[in-house]
Amino acid sequence: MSEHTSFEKQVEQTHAANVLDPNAPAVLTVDNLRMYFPVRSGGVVRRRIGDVQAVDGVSFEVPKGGSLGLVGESGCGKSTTGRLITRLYKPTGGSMKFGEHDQDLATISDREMKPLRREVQMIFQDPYSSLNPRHTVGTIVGTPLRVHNVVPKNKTLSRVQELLEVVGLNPEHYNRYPSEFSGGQRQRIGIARALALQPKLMVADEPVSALDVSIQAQVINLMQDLQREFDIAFLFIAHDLAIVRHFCPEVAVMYLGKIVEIGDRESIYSGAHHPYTQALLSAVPDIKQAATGERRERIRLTGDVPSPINPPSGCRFRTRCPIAQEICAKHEPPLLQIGKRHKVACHFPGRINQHPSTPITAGLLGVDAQGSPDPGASPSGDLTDQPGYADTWFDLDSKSFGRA
Amino acid sequence: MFGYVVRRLMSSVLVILLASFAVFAIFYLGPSSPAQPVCEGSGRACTPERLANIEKSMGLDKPVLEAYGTYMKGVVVGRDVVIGAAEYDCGAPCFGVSYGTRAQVTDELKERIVPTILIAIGGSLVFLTVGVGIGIAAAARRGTIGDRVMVSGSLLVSSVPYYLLCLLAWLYLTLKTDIFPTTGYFPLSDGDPFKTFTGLLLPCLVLGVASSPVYARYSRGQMVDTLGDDFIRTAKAKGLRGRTVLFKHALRAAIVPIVTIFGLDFGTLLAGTIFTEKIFDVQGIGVWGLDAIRPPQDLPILTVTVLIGAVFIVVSNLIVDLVYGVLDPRVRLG
Amino acid sequence: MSETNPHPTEAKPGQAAAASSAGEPYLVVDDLTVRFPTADGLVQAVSNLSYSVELGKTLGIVGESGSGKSVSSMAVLGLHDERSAQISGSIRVDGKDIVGLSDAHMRQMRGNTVAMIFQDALAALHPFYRVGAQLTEAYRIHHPSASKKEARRRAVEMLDRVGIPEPQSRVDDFPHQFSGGMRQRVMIAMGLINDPSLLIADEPTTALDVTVQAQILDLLQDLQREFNSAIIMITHDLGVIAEMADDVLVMYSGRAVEYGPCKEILTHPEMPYTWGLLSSVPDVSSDINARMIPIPGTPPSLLHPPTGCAFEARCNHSDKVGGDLCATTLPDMRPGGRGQTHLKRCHLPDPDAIFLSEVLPQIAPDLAASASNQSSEES
Repeated sequence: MSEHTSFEKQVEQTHAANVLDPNAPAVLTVDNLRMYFPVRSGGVVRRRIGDVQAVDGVSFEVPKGGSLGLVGESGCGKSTTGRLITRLYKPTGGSMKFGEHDQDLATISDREMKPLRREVQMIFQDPYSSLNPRHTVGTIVGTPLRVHNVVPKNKTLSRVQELLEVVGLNPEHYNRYPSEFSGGQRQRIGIARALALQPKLMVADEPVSALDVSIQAQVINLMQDLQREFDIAFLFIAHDLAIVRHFCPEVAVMYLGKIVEIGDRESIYSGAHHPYTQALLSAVPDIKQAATGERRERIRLTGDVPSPINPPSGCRFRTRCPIAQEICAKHEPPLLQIGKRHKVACHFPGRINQHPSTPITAGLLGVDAQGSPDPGASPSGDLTDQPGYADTWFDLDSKSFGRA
Repeated sequence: MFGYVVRRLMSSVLVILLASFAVFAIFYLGPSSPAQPVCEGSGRACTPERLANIEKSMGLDKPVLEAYGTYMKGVVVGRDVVIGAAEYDCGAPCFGVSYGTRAQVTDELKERIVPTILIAIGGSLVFLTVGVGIGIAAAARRGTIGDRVMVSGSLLVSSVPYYLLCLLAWLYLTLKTDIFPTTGYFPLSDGDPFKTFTGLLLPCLVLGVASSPVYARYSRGQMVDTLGDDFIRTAKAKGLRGRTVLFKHALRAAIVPIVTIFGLDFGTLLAGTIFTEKIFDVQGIGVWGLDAIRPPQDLPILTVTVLIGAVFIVVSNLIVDLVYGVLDPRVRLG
Repeated sequence: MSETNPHPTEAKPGQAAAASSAGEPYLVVDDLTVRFPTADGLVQAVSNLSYSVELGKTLGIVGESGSGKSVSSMAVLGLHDERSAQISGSIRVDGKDIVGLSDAHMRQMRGNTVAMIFQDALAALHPFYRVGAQLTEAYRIHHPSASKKEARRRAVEMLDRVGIPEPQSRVDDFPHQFSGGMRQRVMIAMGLINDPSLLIADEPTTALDVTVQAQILDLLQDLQREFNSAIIMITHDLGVIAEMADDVLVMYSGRAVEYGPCKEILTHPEMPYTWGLLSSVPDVSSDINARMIPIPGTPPSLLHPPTGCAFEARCNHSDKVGGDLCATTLPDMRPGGRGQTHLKRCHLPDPDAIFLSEVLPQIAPDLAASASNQSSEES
């Protein structure tokens, strides 16, 4: 990257937000994914006394060459989800169908996984501890090439140099050590390593949160370029809602191991229907607000996220929810599709200050407004969430399934 | 916590049993028969027939597991030990009878362990005060001349071989001058505690001084790391004095890993300090084992010294882990 | 202030004087320079920095790592080691210059009239002492006559004030037993336990989740209203600045590059580095067509800072300045075209026009459109 780029040239290098291709086939389909970590007692015999339900029934699709953002606060299970997809853990249940042959990453053996590791790569958060300080950049980027026999041995160096150039580093610096690079440059090395095997899917876990703001944009832009050039799909895990909005045309919001709202960018950022999503968005400090002097409507959450060992009954968000009612403690709200590309898990979905006063899910669940069984109601058969979106959905105005 | 202690105690007992079996089996199945020294030591010619008879009398013709069983049973309830024609009543805990002195090993162990423990405690006191003290002082003056003097001084001491240090100290401090009185262990039962103290003073000092550099460097490193921690900055920002920051905040955090390596070191010291005991003429566990290994080998003594070392190291490991849980509230022993 | 203060404590000389001497702001930093001699040479961490904060007001200091924002604030508390730092200029706290003051004098001020809260409370609290012990220690060092019981009562009171549930029992917990947000509240309680007139908050919410960050920022604003203290908020997050600050100081490579009222700096920035900061962070509510424009390159070394403007090598606009002025001559901090309170360190002529015509359309097309409508109506 030249240091004296003219402003016009600079504008060409800048990036508007990624756009959604609604017809792209899924490269990864995650269905009802679960990960429970056992909790053991402290007695003489260590019994299993419970589970940390880190991920509990998560379903989504990542489109080929597209990006899905996974947002939520610490402990919501977003990083665990990313690690499950790269099989750093073996999931407790569910499936993760990947690629053209729909191979299930959840049940596949380690031996069968090896060729697939080429296609699913990970970018880590911390550019300081995720690179071995005693290996040169050439070794770091070249190791995946050697392990997977991608290029003949005598071609490894030239391929490494190509990769360094692609991520905007000087190819002559292949024999330097990570400590000789700045944070942003190290993250580029991490990206070059992930890119070496030409993956179809990149799991990026907080790829820029350790970087200075002016460097964050450089790395995000690089990832956008690479995505377009090599048609790589991204699962983009981050807590920074603004960066996710820029990078991901589709976003899933997680809370205590579950997806509470998922949808395209417009549905989440301009039409969020879940009080947690609304609270998250209104908590982000806003520069424009100071510039224009207007104040957004705010939802302030009180308290902390409850323990995932003993999550609240019913809706897991209800203990901090400003609009929770009786039914929320009794029944878990289904993740209901309420728009073309928009699903929400709430008994009272609606825009800020327009949440309905009676639970819209009561009829579907076969209960009355307080959540007690209603003998007169006929519950809908299957409310289990499926990955992707259906052609028909629950219309909030007419309170029935149909096509808008 | 209770469950943890019970689990750790059980695994410690298992480790000690395994170690004792290994020790027993190595000598039992070794290239020369354990009965050989007995056979040769009797003054008569050691014919193969005699050797076989002695082996039979000692139960050495039995399979190793059975012989180990007999040995361990003796440790718990005592047994009759037969060596050749002689028979000895060996009360619990019975670790056998010395081939050389024909005395119960347990009795001598009780005598020998006292000076070893005293040297371990005395030496530790010296290297903890001197070593850790230098470490803290150097860390507090990091980068200054004082720091460099202390670091290179301790490097100098640690570059002298330990046996040489012992010899020089003994030669110049007791033999050529009278700065220290004659060294050695004079039992407390002699009724002269002062003599006991002065006899062990020099060995303790030499052991302590020799181990100090390791502790100085280690505790300096720990203190330097801790002094760079965020909570030290917080303590300063409260308006605390430098001394309070150093001792109440930094040392409290840095002491935990120091205690850990000290616990392990102390276990090793209790297993016997051969050089110290040999050169300063202290009849402890170390020289006892050393003498026993020389021909004619005294197998019961050898076994018990190795075994007691294993027990001390396992126990000190256990204590270190428990102490860690007490010192660091973040460690949950569960 | 003492009337609204529900926790009356002994009167401090600083507070009484602050009310009467209206002449100078509570904190005045004047031409502060901090240098660290190292094996590689002299690190010029802070150069010729000047700013001031009044009681009841919040100054936001923005900058990236190595900009000198934390170093300068540590100097206000005198936390730099005399052996390793060379400090010149003056730092006047309540009219009294503290540069070169003895450690004993500085200790009376630290944690008492001037307190600091840090990023990452888990690392900043001692892991082995109960929070109660750490709070009472902070109280008793400046209230030597207070008994242990009084100090403990005060600790519980502060924990309650910062919104920690069941403070009576939580006071006996260790820091690791608190959640991240609650730990930061403990840190704030410790900072405020002696009713400081000036609170320096160094990235107090950086390690926290957004909903917890919002709680903490609200809490700091509440406490400021209640105690009328001055706050210095150090952050890299312009959003936090927008929410909290009355004035903003933008730092780059150890120097102030822009300084003025918050709204003014965020709507009419006059220094290309500030433009870079604004355009490299997306906003949740900004126009989706907005672009993310990175600042190319990396900041210069503090060992060998350039002779001219430190930002020149990364600046896209230096060609609009005649000759090689930017590369050779360090611009002064001086007012631009928007009043005496808005200072910037830049040679660019008419930067506001460049911002409105070239930068704003890229980063906020919607705002740019409304701005140009406004100006055409005005003309």
